[in-house]
Amino acid sequence: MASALIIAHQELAQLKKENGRRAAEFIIAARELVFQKGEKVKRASELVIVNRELIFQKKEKGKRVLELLNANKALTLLNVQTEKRAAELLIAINELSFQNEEKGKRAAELIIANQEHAYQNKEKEKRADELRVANKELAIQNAENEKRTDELTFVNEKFIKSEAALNKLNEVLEEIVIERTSALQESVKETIKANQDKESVLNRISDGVVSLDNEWRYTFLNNAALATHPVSKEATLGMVIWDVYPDLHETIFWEKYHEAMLSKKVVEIESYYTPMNIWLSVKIYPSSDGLTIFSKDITKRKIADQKLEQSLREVSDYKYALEECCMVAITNQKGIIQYVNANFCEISKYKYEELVGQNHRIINSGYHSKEFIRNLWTTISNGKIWRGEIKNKAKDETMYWVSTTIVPFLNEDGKPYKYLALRSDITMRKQAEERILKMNEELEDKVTARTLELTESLVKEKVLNEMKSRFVSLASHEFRTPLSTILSSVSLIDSYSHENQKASRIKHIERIRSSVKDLTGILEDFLSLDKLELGKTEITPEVFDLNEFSHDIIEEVNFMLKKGQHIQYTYSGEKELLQDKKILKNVFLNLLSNATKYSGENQVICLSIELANSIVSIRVKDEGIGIPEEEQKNMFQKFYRGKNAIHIQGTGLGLTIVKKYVELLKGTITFQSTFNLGTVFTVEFPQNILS
Amino acid sequence: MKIILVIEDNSNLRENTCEILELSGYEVYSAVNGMDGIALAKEKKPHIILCDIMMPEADGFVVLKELKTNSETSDIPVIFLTASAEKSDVIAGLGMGANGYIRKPFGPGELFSEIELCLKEVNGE
Repeated sequence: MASALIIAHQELAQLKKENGRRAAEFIIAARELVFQKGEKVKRASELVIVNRELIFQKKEKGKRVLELLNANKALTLLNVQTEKRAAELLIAINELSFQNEEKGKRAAELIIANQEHAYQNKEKEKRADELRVANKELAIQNAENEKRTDELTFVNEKFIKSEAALNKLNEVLEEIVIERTSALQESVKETIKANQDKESVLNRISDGVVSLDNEWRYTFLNNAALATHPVSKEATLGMVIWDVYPDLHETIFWEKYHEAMLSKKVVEIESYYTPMNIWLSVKIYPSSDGLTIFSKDITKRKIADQKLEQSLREVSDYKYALEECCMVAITNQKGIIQYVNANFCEISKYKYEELVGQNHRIINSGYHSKEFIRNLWTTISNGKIWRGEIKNKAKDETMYWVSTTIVPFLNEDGKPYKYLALRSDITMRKQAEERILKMNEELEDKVTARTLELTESLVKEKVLNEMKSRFVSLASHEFRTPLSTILSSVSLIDSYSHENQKASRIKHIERIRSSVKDLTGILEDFLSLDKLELGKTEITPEVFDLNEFSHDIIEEVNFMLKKGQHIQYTYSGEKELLQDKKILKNVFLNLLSNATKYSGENQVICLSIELANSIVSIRVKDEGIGIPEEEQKNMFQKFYRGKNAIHIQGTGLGLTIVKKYVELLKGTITFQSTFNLGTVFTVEFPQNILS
Repeated sequence: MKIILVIEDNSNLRENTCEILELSGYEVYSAVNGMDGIALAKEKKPHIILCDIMMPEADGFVVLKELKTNSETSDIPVIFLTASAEKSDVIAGLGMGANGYIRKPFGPGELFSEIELCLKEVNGE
């Protein structure tokens, strides 16, 4: 056993050792694993970095490729340009070589030219030598010439002396001849000139000049006269004037010519010469030789004269017209009145003497602004015409309106030295305008007022219409429902024909009666309102006990109450009063029936009456639906019904009637109400309606 | 036996209508206002409802809306008893799902013809 134990122990130990070893191996393996994991992680992170780098490099490559592409493009461009340049260079080179060739040619030509030059120089030198030889020869000949000259000079001197004596004699003779000749010429010239002057003067003047001898024959006519004569000067001279102008016979001219010839006095005429359609001014100067006649065409002047006359007449017509219809005034440049016409005086009510010499300001009305007046003066003092409408003041302080035109008269410097003012009276028109303006304003005011009125009435009408349409639907309901009852009751009565169905028949007859009563009630509401509005309701005061009266009413109202409703009644004070019982009953019934109608089941209605200090106070309080605050102001209006009461039967007339009735009792009605909590109506009226 | 519900606040008319219908062999229930009418409609499941429009505490339109939106009662035909002179009320009612209308004042003739018409429509005749 022990040994077995030992063996077991040993085995255990062995196993433990094995385990220990294994554990150690495990640890190592584990470490290695951990290490490898670490490595992997590192590798992974390295890979990530490498990857990023790769991506980066790819991007770089992309960029590079782009750059290369760009560079390529640039290179291609450059190549193209280079080729162009090369081509250009080739052309340039060709040109250069051509120019070089030209230069070579020129150089060759220059050389030839130089050679020629040199040759010519030599020639010149040869000539110079020849000249020198010739010069010497000349000098010899000169010396010989001088000798000969001296000999000749001596002979000449002798000859010259004799000739000078002859010349002198000639000169004296010639001088005498010239003197005579010029004297003769002068006298001839003078004569000619005198004749020429006379004729040319006569020829130059524009008047026709004719000379006749005592036998009426032409002795002279100048160019101007010739122009009007039918034949040439040569043919005319010597002819009798009456033969040249047969038309002159028996004319005024004929008469006057004869008159001048006989009287030997100067005669002048101005007349129309029909054959030539011209006006002639003729002066006849007689002399012992006959007549000299100056005639002048004055047609133009005559026409101008006529025109001038016409214009003058027209101007005077205008002036007359102006004076007749306008107020005319003339002032100097300072505005001092120099002239006014009768119209001016009449309208301004001043006398002529009162105006002339005065400043124009005398008629100012003070109506126009300073700016208006300044503008006027600026305009006319600048030489411009001013037009406008001015209000002026007459002597009697009345105002008149004038349409005005002021024309400045300018001197040579363009400065006004006087003003002409033309005015026409437009007072009537202005007054009419003012009236129209005023009328317009009034009309506008009226229109505005009327529009306001209409708008107001339109609003009223709209409200009324709304109420009417509400009433129509209410009334139709109020009428149609009892009518339906009547119809059905009638048909039911028809079907209850047996004797034993009498009870049923009576029931329906009762229903018909009740429906008719409903209808009558509604109708009465209308009628009483109509009557009230027309003021036809009469008061019949009577003495009665208010407390008893109230009890009767309550009894009547109890039939109308809804399930669980009841009336709480209190009374204090005196009981007797003098009032219209019928009207008061209406008021009570209306208020109490409203209280039940607008309250729910099981709700209490309070009626409290107090008579103190001769005043009756009645309070009707309910716990019903109340009146919304915004609608309270409309409650006494005809046909008006609260929004929360639309589906409750009613005509919207009850409170309107009550208010009118209370007023008839000389009382007042007020109420306080809270929506959904109830309403209190308070009616107050005198104990004695006659007090 | 066909069941008819009459909702009408005017007691005379309500009772008369009920009486006429009963005499013709209908089983008739009645309500004096809209709220009662709705409750009764849910309870009795009538074949047809006659309903006044102008009523206190839920008018005809309220009743119609309530009945038509409730799955229990939405199939029941509703006939309005209208006193309104305005066509617009009638049109509004029909637009809201009313199956017919009878204009006041009406007699038995108008009442029956409208009820029969309505029942025929419901039965798909």
